[in-house]
Amino acid sequence: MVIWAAVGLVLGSVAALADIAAPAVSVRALACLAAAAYGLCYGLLELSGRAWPPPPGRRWQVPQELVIATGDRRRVLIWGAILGPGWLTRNPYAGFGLLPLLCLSAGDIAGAVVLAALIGAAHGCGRALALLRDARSAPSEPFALLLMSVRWRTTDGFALLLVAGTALAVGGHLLRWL
Amino acid sequence: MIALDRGPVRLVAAATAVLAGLAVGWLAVGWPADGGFGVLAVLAVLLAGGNGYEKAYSP
Repeated sequence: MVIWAAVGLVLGSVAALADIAAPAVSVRALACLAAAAYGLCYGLLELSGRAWPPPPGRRWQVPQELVIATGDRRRVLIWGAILGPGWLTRNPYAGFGLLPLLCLSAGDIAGAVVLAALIGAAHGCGRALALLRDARSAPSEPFALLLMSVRWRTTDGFALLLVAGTALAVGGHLLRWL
Repeated sequence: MIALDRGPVRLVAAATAVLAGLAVGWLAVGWPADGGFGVLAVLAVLLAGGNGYEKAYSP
């Protein structure tokens, strides 16, 4: 949440500076249109089942030795700083890449910080809930995990298209198209 | 249950998702307070929560 709030501060500052530098251009509208384009492209890609181009992001995963057989404090630090916010590790779903664009669409610093903090809290809670679910059940077979991943990719694709439609309508309204 | 694995069904479902998003956005911009940003923010938070949860299923 703190890391996401810091990201929101940076994005909100960029939007505010861009508004000062080029008052004729609406950063909010451009961010909405960029979010719509991203959502449409990756939503259709995820629904088509194609793996290329991969969603933007890193390929790095936390090495097991950093989590296994370490102290509680270090484990909490790793979960809080690396796995919870989701910026540094591999994420195969394109929905994550849409979130910074939606923060930028706030158009001002306060809005971007609040939205980014809420996004960070939601992302971290989602991860924690998945962990709690996994802790209560037996580990899935690799093939079942793969199949589940394909289903989540489809769900992510539909969510991206839904958000893309909304962003297009909001961006179009800001540009007085609607 | 609708078979979303079939190409044409999936295409129709994708078009429906975009149109539903447009409808939600079109209704949202009617709110005088924030010009539709509130609805976009709610969707962003839901997307973030879902992404965090589904990431556990990445092989």
